[in-house]
Amino acid sequence: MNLTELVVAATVVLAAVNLLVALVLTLRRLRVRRREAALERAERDLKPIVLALVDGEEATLPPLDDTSREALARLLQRYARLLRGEARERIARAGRELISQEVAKLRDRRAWRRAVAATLLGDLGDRHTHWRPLVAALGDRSPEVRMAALRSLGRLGAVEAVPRIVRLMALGRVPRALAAEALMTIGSPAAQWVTRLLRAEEPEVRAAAAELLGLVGAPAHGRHLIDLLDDPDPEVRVKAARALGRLGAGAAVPALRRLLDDPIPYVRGAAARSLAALGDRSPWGRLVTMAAEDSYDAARAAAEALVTLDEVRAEKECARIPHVAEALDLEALR
Amino acid sequence: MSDTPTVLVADDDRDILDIVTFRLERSGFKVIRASDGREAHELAVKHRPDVVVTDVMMPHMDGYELAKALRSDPATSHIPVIVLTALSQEEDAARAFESGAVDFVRKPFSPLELKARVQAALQRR
Repeated sequence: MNLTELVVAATVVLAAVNLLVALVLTLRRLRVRRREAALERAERDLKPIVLALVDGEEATLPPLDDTSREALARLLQRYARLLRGEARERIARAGRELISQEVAKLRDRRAWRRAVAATLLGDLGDRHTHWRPLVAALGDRSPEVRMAALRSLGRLGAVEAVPRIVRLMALGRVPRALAAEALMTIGSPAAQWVTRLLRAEEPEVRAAAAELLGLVGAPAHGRHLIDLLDDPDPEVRVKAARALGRLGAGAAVPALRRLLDDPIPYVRGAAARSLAALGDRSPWGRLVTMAAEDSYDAARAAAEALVTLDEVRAEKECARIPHVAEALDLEALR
Repeated sequence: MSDTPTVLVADDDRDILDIVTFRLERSGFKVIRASDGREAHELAVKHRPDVVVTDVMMPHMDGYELAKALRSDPATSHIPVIVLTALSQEEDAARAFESGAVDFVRKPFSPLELKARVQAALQRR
């Protein structure tokens, strides 16, 4: 075989391979499209029955094949995210049989399957039955699974999971924003569990608990946080100071004023911002000194506090201080 | 007002439209559906519903703009608007009331509670 024949043969083989790949891709696409169409049809057929079920009417589901089961799961999952109260409980009852296999799937070797199972348990599961397997999934080696489990625990309102969530947040095993979101979804019942962790042995846990209590707590929780303003760990003092400002805990004002003399600048800054949030004008002179003389973080926080407390007075009395001038400019831009 | 009160429901989420329509129809209301703010405004002007239930984040015209537009038109200014939204901040609720809404319901929501609020809005008219 000469070179020309070789080139021709190679071209023919390549063209055949290309054709085969195109054929396989087309067939696969057709199969996916057909499956999607079948799912949409099944969803359309099931929708009136599911709407009646969710609304509390007597309705019986027809015998379900695999496609209908998947369509039912998709419908219930979407509705579960939109509804609360009795309607949400009815969805959990209707989905009980559908998710019977999902707990076992949390141990599947494929991470995506474990994450899907964790998500489904959050949408269609029941708090009392599923909080334990979902808490176990918070220790999963895959971050996707941990995040799915975290969101699901929030959606189920699983207060029992709060200590574990706070500890994992403190260890950096789950993103802070997601942990906060889960606790906020659980709502005020979470606050009671978070309060207990303010006395944890590890400073990271105390700091995380203080931060989260600032998000899910009420001003009445302030008294637990005030004690933490004397914590030996500066990060805990900062988180407690910020939480007190966020909660609007007026009872914390004297303790926060004392914190303006904390040896750590970062802590003094947090105290200044929280006092401003609480509207306490009495340490005005101390804040002016901080804005003029303190280290960068504390000075900046003090300047912002002065502008928050009284913009006109800050402009009149302290605009010569560079940090205050900057804070005034930023305020004007808002 | 006819014997059957009419509720205009505006949301770009088909599932919300289905759930709300189902509950309100079962409670004896006539329901008109719109999938964006502009369509909702056109339908409100045309049909003069007794109550409007609207999402906030919708294409073309958001729920706040819809409430304002209805409030500023003498032909529709009497129609109570209930905002049904996933936005949950205090300022979102404040903005809804400033725009002319009479009630604010957060998603996830309870269909029964929404129906009760629609009835309350009708009684307050």
